[in-house]
Amino acid sequence: MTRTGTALAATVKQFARTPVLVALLVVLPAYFVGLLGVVVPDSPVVASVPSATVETTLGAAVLPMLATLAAVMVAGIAGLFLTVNTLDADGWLALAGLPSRSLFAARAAALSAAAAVASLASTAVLVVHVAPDQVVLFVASTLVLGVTYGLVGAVVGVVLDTLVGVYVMLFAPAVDLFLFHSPLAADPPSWSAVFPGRWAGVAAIDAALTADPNWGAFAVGLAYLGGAAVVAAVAVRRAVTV
Amino acid sequence: MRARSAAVGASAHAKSVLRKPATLAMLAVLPPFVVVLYGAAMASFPDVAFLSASAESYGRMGGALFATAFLSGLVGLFGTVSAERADRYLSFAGFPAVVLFATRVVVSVGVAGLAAVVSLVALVGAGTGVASLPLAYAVLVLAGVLYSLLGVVVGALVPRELEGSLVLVFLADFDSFLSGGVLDVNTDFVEFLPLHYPHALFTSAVRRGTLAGEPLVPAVAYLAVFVVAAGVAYAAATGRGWSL
Repeated sequence: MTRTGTALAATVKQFARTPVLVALLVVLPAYFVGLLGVVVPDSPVVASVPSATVETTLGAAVLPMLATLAAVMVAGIAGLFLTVNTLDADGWLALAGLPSRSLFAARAAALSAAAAVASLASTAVLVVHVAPDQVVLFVASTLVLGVTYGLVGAVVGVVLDTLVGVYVMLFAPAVDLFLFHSPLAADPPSWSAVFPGRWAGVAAIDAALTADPNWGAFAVGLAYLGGAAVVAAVAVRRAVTV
Repeated sequence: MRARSAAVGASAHAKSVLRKPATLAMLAVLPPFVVVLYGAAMASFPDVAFLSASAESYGRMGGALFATAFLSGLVGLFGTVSAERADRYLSFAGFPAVVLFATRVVVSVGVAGLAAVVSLVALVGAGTGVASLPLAYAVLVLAGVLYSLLGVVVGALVPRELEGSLVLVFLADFDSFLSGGVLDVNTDFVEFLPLHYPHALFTSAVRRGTLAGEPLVPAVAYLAVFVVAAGVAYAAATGRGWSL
């Protein structure tokens, strides 16, 4: 087994050792989307996405965005705690000769798995209420945004303590997706494009509400993910090797 | 003896909050940031959905309320989780559980009071006129204490930071989305959300400068329920029950 594989196996075992956490990764997003799907009425609304203005119901307009948000919040907080909880051990492992690059790759892979679990759980419940027009692209966009926020959470975990980090990782995705890039928001300010939800988030909402894939937003979302990975890798490796 | 125990407990819990400079910085920096950001974000919603005020002003009010409440909730959660073992030993050593819990509530009120000051100053500084500052402040403190007690309940039931944070974040998001009226939900379910009544009270205090005709009694009743729930959960967490 490679060094990265060994570190990944250790991280996965750490997750598996706390079954409550694994259950929460699935249950919380599913419960969130499921309950909101029940209470949000079917009143008619006009939803705005970049490629079109769609007349639909309130549930159909906001539930996909809320499903994405649920997965993103789980991934962001998981990234935060995964980093905080492993920095010390990774420091010792780096000192013992394990490359910090391998450690970061293992942590990022575990984080991606957590984001995938949360994305699939929230999408599965979403489909019960409202089926996205393009399910695969919707899941892919949600996953890209989830991993992006997970890496943002990792950076936050290096810079701030957990209490402040949770506060940031609640508000950042909520403001990004629920307010700035909600399909009910008519005209978000141009500077809100610095948020990752402007790209992968919009691609997910587009995939849910229209039949035309928004490949442009998805591609920029992937590039954003790449940038976040570079920043997180530098921040975590610096923290590990200091 | 009881007064001295209370003083020692309150001091210990307060120090656990104030010992971390990041927590203090968060008290000063994050609530204003949330107030301004909520206002800017809500400005992109059509004003017609919010009846008698601009969407930006509405967003700032929601931001102030939520920033205060969630900050207090996190302090309640992390304080309970981090002090769980110490409180259990203290209880085992004869420190009355009721005094420990009471001092935790006192510290929660203090944190909520500080967060409310910062949020209110941010709200006024951002340009939202507040008809009655004392009433608006009181409602913010109420929201903060409610969430702080909710944090204690979550911390007692899920005594780990990651798992507890996930639970509290999702509870808070439900509350933020539904009690604030951004989503027009026609169900009685929203009345059970912790910020439902404080939101109505805060809006009235800011816009009209009075709480007359607003659901004050349900809000206080909700507070009483949370005090009992947090007390029971805390007693269970310290493993001592309410034996005095």
